[in-house]
Amino acid sequence: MKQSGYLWVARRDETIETFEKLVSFHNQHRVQTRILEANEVKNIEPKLNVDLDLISGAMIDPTAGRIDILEVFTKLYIELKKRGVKFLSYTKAEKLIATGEK
Amino acid sequence: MRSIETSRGSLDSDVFVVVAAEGSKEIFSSIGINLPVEPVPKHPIVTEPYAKSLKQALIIDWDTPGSPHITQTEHGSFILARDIADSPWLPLNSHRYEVFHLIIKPLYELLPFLSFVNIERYWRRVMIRPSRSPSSSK
Repeated sequence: MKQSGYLWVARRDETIETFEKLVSFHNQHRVQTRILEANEVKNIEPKLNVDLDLISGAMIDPTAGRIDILEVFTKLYIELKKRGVKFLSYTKAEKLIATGEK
Repeated sequence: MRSIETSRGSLDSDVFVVVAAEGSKEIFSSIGINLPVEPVPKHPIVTEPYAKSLKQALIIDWDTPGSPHITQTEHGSFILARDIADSPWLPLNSHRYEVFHLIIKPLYELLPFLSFVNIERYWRRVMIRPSRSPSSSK
């Protein structure tokens, strides 16, 4: 997993007020989001168009990131196999049969 | 629950966990349970690989309806997407090429260099959401 951050870009001044409320909520729960002014955004994301006619600022979560789905799936598959899980490929689950309480 | 019928015979267990995406609805219907989920089409666009250009894992255009967003993969391709109102349960070949300009235009405004990047492919994928929930589109 790489935590390279999420950047939410605001086009309207009112959105910055929304971001401030969100940041307050996030920070209360230890998520370290923060507001960026338009000129600060350029340092964070140099190729972003920070023309003041276009954007009002941004909110950043530096701890957000992404995972490699294939890598996670492969490691999970290998680990579960080690623990005795049996995988049935090309086997369609067609119908559950319930007895007693569902 | 005691067993499940499969294309290769029956399997018995005390517990079954159903993680079959939209197929879960069909499996649960076999025991009379209406699972309240529906598949919602999404429309990602993928570009050819390009020089590493984005520092953030994801950039989201908050104020444009459907929040257009973009990420750059480890291989350099960009993935562009936007939540666009669509009908659940459409066949998989129901492409909507008119989504192109809806997705691309706002992201070009924010990242003008994208005009130099070639689109490689587009496809529909399906996400599952609870039925009767408000659309994620703003």
